[in-house]
Amino acid sequence: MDLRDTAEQAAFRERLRTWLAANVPTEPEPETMPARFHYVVAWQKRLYSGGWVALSWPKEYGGQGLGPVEESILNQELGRAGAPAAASFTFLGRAFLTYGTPEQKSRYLPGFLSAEEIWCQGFSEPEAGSDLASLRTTAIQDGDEFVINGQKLWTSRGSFAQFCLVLARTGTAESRHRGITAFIVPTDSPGVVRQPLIMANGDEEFAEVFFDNVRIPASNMLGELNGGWKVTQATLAYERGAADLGYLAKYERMLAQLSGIAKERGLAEDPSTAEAVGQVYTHLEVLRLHSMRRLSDRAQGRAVGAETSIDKLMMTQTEQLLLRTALDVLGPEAVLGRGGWFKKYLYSRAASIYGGTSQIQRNIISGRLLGLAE
Amino acid sequence: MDFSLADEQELLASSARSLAADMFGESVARQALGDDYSKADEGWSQLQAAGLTSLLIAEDHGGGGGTLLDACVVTTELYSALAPVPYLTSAVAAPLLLRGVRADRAAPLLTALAEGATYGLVVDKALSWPPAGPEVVCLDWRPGREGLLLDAERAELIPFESRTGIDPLHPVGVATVEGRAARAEADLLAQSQRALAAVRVAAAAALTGCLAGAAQLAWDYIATRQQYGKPIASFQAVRHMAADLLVDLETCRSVSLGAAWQVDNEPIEDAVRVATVAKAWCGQAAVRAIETAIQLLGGIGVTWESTAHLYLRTAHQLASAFGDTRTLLRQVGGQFVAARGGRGDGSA
Repeated sequence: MDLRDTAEQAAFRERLRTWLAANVPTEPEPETMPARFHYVVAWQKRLYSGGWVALSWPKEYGGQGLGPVEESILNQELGRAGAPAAASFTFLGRAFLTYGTPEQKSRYLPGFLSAEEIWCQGFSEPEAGSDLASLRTTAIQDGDEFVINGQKLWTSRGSFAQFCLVLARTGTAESRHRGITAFIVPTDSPGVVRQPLIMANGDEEFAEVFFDNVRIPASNMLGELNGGWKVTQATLAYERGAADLGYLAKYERMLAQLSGIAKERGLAEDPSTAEAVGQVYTHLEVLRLHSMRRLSDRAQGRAVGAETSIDKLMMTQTEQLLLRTALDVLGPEAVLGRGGWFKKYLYSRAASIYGGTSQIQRNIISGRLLGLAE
Repeated sequence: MDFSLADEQELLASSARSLAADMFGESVARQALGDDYSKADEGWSQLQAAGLTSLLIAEDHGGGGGTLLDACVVTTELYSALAPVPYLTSAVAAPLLLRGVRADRAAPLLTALAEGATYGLVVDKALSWPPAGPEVVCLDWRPGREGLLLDAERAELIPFESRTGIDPLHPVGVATVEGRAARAEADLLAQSQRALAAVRVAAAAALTGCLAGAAQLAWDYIATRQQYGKPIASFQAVRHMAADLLVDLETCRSVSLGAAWQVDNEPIEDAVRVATVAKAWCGQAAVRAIETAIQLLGGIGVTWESTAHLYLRTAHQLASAFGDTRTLLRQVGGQFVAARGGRGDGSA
């Protein structure tokens, strides 16, 4: 064990810091959509042009050929510099890396990484949330085309994306996870209709996406026919991992801000405030060391799997504790909307829902990690 | 950045695990409850012979010259096996605290420890045990064992009297020592501050062991216990509680192992901070998880016959020793607010 940067990692961190100092946007992140979306996309493009996107991906697909440790250094430094999170959900790209044909990789990955083309993930449906394998959107082959009909829900950035990775039923209605296929669907295809879904905090975070006889070429299939479940698993395992996400430094900055408010109030010496801040800080440090352990496993080539459900539960717990503590410390000021804390708090309630609810994570842990038979 | 255990450490863990399984476990713990320590002492001799009790003693004094991480790996295994031995005190705390004691006084004690001697550890306010009157407390003390009292000038062995505590596997003694109870943490030398941080991390590793042992009891039980014609592990309410045990266990492992490395390798402020965090997390997670394990064990879990209460007793004693959870949270939170609290608008 040696938790320090190697000489190469330290040099990488130094180069990154220098670049960030010159490139982090000085104007604040807009509060509302779609301005915030455009701001984040512009930042992604700048990161890409600097060579800081998809660090651990192979060079031939636009990555930098580095390791997961460099990815985590990027996340740490983005957070430390107060930079916005990257726009592209790289975990969706993992599905392409693993299951895409050479033609699909060269066609879609560059635009994906450079944020010239924005993607969304058409997985959940009104009747298929946690029970994703029960999804009802259908894709029926017609010559060398597929015809897609159905509805997707909770599609993040669905209103803005140019492409959607759609899971559709290609088997019988009873085939569950064995009869699902993943398709690449341009969102400007005739028959695609999108409606924004407003979050409890007022943000236009999600969309409903409707498919009415949408025709796409069979070559838009990602992975094998009826092999969509594997594609999904690859995506979700990465989505759930703490290591891929740059949240830690962001959380720590929020806790520092909150501590500033406490100081302003003369609560610096107040034991109950110290205890509450200490509890959040303890969670952050545990998450930091836990993420380092996971990253180290990954850097040594261990595959990402069900253990990410543990990481996601810990992250969720941490984020929700942080924002709840913020409201406790702010008290009545939160009611007046100071600093947007209440909005962030409302958003934190989604952490235990998206990427698989906490209940589903516990199902995965008890079944796949503890091996308890149902 | 590398979080993995070295091959030798993996080997250390597996030999500690198999030694603990052979020499300790429920029957030896039960004998200790009846004040029969013959098997426990035999186990200690085996640990000593394997070099596991002297990992933190320098080679000059007959020890293994190992790291805190080595010792933590062993600590977790021993506490998971309910070993009624003074590992945390005689194999971890004493050697580390003796590094801050005058060499001529420390040397004979280190040599004795390397040869397998066991001592109780006198804890006072400086070791985060708040004084309750003039008496000081000695951890891991039992009749026939002496208590080791340490500060920069002194390394003395003194007699103690038995005091009924909550943890029969790690009993305590009390004695009156003039002027000692009020010694504060601030009186510790820098060397001893790092030692205290290390002891906190080792306590976190011990708590991780208690959690691991109790969780395994619960996981085994729910997989076999049948109600309504099937194992209770098939019910989601039960499965979800079982899953929570693993979240607590894995995060405890991460923070205790990572903190062990940091305390050995980083500046004193960082060592103290991360040790505080590790102890605070493992203290609360172990108590919470063992309570959950007892819930999963149902009626049997609240009987004397189950070993669950032994894990819970040890966890509570550890959670209170060397800084209780609440005090540690306040310390680390207070320091964060003082050092990092920017202005309320988010600017530094």
